[in-house]
Amino acid sequence: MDDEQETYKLWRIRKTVMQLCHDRGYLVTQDELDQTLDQFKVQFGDKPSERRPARSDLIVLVAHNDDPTDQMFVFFPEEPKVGIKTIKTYCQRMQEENITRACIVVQQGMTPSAKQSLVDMAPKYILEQFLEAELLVNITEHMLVPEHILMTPDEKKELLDRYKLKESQIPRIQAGDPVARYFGLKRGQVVKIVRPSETAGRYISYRLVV
Amino acid sequence: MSSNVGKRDGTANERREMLLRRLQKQKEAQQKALNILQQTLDGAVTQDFVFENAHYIDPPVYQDIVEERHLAKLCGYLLCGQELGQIPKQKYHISAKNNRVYDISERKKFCSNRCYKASSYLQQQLLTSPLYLRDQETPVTIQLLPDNCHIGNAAETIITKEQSQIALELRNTELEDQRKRGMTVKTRRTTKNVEIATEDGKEETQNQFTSVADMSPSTEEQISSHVMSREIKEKEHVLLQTSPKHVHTEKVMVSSRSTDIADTNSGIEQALGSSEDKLDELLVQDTAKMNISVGHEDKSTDKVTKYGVERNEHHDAQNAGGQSRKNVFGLIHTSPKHSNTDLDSDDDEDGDDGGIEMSGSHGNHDDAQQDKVTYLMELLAKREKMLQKSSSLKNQDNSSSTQSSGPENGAFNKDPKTNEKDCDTLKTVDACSKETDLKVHVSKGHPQISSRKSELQTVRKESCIDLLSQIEKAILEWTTESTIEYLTGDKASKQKIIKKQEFDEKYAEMGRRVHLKQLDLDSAGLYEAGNMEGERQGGGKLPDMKTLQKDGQEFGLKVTEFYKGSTAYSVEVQDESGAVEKKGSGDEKSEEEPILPMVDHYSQQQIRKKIVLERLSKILPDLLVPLNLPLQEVSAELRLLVGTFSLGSHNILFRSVEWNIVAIVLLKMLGMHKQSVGIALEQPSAAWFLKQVLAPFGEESEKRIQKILKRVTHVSS
Repeated sequence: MDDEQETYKLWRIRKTVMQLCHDRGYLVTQDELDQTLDQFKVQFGDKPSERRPARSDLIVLVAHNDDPTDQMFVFFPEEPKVGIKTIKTYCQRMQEENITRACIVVQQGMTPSAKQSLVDMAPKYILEQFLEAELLVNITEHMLVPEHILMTPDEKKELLDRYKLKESQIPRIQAGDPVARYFGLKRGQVVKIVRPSETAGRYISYRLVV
Repeated sequence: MSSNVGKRDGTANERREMLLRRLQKQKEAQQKALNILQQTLDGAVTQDFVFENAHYIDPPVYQDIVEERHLAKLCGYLLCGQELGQIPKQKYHISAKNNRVYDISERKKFCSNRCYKASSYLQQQLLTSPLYLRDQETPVTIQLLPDNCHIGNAAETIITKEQSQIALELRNTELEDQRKRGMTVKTRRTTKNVEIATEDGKEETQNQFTSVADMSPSTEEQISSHVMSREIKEKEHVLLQTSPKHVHTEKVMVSSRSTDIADTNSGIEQALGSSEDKLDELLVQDTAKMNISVGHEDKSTDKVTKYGVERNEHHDAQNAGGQSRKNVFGLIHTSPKHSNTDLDSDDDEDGDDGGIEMSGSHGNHDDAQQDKVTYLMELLAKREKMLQKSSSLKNQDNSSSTQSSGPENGAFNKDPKTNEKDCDTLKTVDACSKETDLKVHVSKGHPQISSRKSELQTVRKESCIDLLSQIEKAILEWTTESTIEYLTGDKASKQKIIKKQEFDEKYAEMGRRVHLKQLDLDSAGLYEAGNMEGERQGGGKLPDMKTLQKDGQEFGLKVTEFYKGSTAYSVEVQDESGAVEKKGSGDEKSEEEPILPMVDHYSQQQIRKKIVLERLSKILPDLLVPLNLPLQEVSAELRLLVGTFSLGSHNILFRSVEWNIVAIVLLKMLGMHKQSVGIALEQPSAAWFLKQVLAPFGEESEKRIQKILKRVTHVSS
């Protein structure tokens, strides 16, 4: 693959990653969100084949808007297929910096054991895996994807009380749903989905993550 | 009620607990496997580690280990600590030598072929049952591929092989291993033991990989793997080395059976039957192999030689079978009389025996032979051949020094005929030598192979000569005066022959037409038979008015006769009229068109000609391409040439390899007749090619063919 294409790809990926962080409530500057391809080239270089930029240069560390101690890493592994060893090094780095959340953007995939190790670390360290190809476009910007809004625990409680519902009575969404993965939803959270409606103007529904 | 609910709750709780426990167990097992995996990522592990932990991983986990190690830039085989330097980027390796494309996505995870092989060998042994049930199972003993395992030279150049090939190779190496171990450790095993063990082995062949404790390879397995090896055409050194050994065990089987006969004297029939079975198997195998190798003969000459070796092995096994039989003969003919006639008859029987064997392999032309004299001549020739073989075997015997030991030997020596009958002694001695052979093989192994090979060589040469002489005979029988006229005669005679051919073709055409007409007649006759019983007037034509009226009257007469109550007189009249009627109709028919009998001398010739041409047309394209001869140029001439032959029912059946020789001989005959063909055959490249094709049949084969040609022309003129 030639450099031009590769650079373009990296730019798109990084842009989507920034939007993702922003949508999750992490602090991302407007400059970073609006970064053009040229700016990207100036900042990182335009020769990915000569490790300019190397994937490791793209690593992102963002802090949450509300709680600055809640930080998230976004890793870009160099190797096409990620093994358990890479995961371990990332894990070490997270431990050192006392960060509990991370996304790993892999080029081709992960070995089954690496995936397994992600699951095993789950309660303490939350690592999410994305393919580069998945992040080339921001799926939430697609016209057919309605707006998803994550509800806080208080809002969830209010909803249940108001409609006298039990948790199990809310429609569900899977944690593996692309949008759920985009927002990094966890089991038990509730999202509010707002759809445009011809008759009612707006149609609001709720989904419990399972 | 409440207690009932409580009870249900209790059982539900129990079940939940059980489920939880099971889940817990699954998780633990998974965790353990993952731990094992992580421990393998830091370089080479010890053998003990493998033995210890192999019980707790399954093939997918093992696959993961390989993958993870590969990603960590380590050789995928966990006992190997080598780093992977240059990992090829491509997914496939194209071997220009073998004209094949290999998928190297697996192979590139290893530092060497050896590691790859060892790794797949290890993976094959892992249990496939769920990990969380492993504590209830008995651990398997894992075998590692030994370090000094021989890997073929070709394997170094070919980066990888397909999965099936690897499996086959593994199996072969495993067999080799087993045999090696058998040589060193299993000296206590007598021939009988071998036999028993082989019976055992048959049952356990399915479990080749898991039941490593089982030492004895079974013959079926070997045969199948043999056939597979032919199919794959893997020209591996390993395979070449192992194949003669396989035959060895075959022989071991046969000879051990012969000892049984000598020892027990009771299960003769049984042993005979089983050895015959074995021979049948061999035959089937042989033919299968032939079919495989036919199409590719022109491509690889060494394959031809391989084939030759194969066939010789087959011959050898046959010999062994024959000998066991002869042993039986020897036991049966224990009468004190040793007159010459007895010897003769015995010899004849031997010859007969051999004859049956031969015909089994050479195309069953014995049964078609009716002429007594030629039959006897053949028997004599075969007996001679048998004697030659046995003498060559005798030489072998003299060379092997360990012959005179062993209790079996003594048993054979008790045979009262040993002094008198040369032939019989030879056989028995040979069987004895087989016994000793086996022993030497078990204890020493390799040195024996070379002598065996030389034996194979001699037998092979004889069989080739035999084969050539058969072809020679057949071609001599084929040739007629018209053939020679066609080949050497002037233009007028050629024209005559061509005309005759045309006539033949016309005749065939006519025969077909007549046949079709006959069919028409038959169907028409059937139709009419449905309408009226007595009417037999086929021919497809409508009968004219007069005959119809006559028939009507006749029928009326018949009916009235019937109602009156038939008298003898009237019946007689009726019969007479019927006979007349029939005769008339027959005459009519013969006048209309001469109907020729379908089965006659000519049509048989046509069918045979068709058979020969068909077989030749299958082989010719392969032969003609290297000779730079277009098929069109030859085919017409060949058709004419074959047309001049007088083909018999017994001399047009050959095996495909023999057809090759026949085709070459015919081409050479054509070369005498036609300039262009002759020139093409004289070309150095053509000569080289022919030499290559004929190489497996011995050095003299070309001279032989020249002789055949000379004899053909001589005899005919």
